[in-house]
Amino acid sequence: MGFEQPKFNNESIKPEKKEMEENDKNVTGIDKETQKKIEEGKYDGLLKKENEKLENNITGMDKETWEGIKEGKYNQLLNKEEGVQKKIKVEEPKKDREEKQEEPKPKAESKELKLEKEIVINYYEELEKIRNIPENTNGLKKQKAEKYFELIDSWKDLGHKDNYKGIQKIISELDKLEPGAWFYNLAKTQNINELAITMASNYKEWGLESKEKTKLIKKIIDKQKKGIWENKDKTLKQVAEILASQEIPYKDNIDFIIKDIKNPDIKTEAITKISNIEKKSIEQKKQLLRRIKEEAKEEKIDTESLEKTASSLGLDKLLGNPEAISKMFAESSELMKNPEIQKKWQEINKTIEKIIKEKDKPSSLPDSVKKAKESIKKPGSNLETIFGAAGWIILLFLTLFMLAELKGVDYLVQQSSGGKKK
Amino acid sequence: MQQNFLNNFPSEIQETVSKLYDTILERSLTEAYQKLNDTQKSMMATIFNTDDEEKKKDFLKEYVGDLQNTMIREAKKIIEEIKK
Repeated sequence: MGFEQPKFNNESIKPEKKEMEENDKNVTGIDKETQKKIEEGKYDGLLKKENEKLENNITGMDKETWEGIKEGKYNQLLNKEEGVQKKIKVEEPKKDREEKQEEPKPKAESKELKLEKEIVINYYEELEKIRNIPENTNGLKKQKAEKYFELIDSWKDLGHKDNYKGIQKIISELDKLEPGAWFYNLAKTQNINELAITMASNYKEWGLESKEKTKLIKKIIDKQKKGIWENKDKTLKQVAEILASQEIPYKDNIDFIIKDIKNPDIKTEAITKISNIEKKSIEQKKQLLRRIKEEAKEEKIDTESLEKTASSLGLDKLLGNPEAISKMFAESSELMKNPEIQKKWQEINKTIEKIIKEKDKPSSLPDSVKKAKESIKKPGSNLETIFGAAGWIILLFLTLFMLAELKGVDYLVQQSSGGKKK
Repeated sequence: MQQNFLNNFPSEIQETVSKLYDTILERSLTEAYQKLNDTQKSMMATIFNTDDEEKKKDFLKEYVGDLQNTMIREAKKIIEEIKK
């Protein structure tokens, strides 16, 4: 084959890598990502509670008593007592707090762990709340599904703390829910994809054996909605690239992911890319990891606006039965053999040709636009990956529109719901 | 991905849908191109004459904005034109 074999990097962590990992931690021992979230205010509620505890001083007294001590209300009583109470430095609370901040790392880490545990407990409580939302109608089911998606999104960065057990519970709930909306399937696939990417990004933070980790990532990817939205190979490839860019050894890690890629072209491309990633410097790998994550986010399509667009195109009647649409597509060849349909097709085609020729003369296109178009359409390119999803949706719209124009939406709805032709 | 999808359909549909998709892409890119100033236009010409995928991506991200939504909007427009 025309690609180089990937390096089987089984070496222990290199010094630069250790340095890199150290740089990623701040003085409190909190990892960079968590620190960023704290700065963004995501944990404000919980941090407020923790700060209140600190305000109450290290003895755990309530604020009122502590204030009283500071004001000297209990000086007489304290002076009478021997031992511990005398050691309380009422006049110097600031210094006392500073001393606490300078305490060795393990205590700061345990505070962080406590905070994370509380957050995970909160997520479980949130999950329980969502489970209680009624699901009598499709609308309610959809709302419930959206809440589950939001919860996965908030939880995914800390999902490794309970080995993704909580998130797997949400996915099981989503499997049962099935709101029967066309775009729900796309939203689910997109959420699963994002989750798998986060799992791969947190691979080093996650305290399971490599084999267990890759097994769980594959299990999650396998939850992508089957049918026309499914794109497991692409997700597996992205996961493999993320692992490689974090210097995760190929053997017993990445190879487990690669072996599940079914499409031979995607598999070859993934192996070639991993081989190239392994040759990059640590800094280049860090940049690449950032880029892969960014690109995965960019690929995500806003399903809500898409649903609105579909509805405004008059395609919403068709979208209610996603499984049947695949069947309908499969029958399109038969449809085109019908002479009556062929005649109608010629008419539609004439209109389309006229529209394209009138407004879009290729000669009038700027060269840069032509080149950009070629780049976006180039199979396997970064740009194709980013705009591929939107392009795919557009093709789907256009095809549905063509079929609807040819035979009428009502006919297609009947076909897709198993009804008889009028 | 897109070609795989189109392969599910008879050749007539494949051909026409491909043409329409090209038109949508051209219109979306042209719309974005017209909003660029002369310096940005010449930057685009230079970048898209190279094989640097990253630079192309960064350029589109920075200067072309939300191309996905523009494409969906153009698809809607073109379908409405055909319907007329």
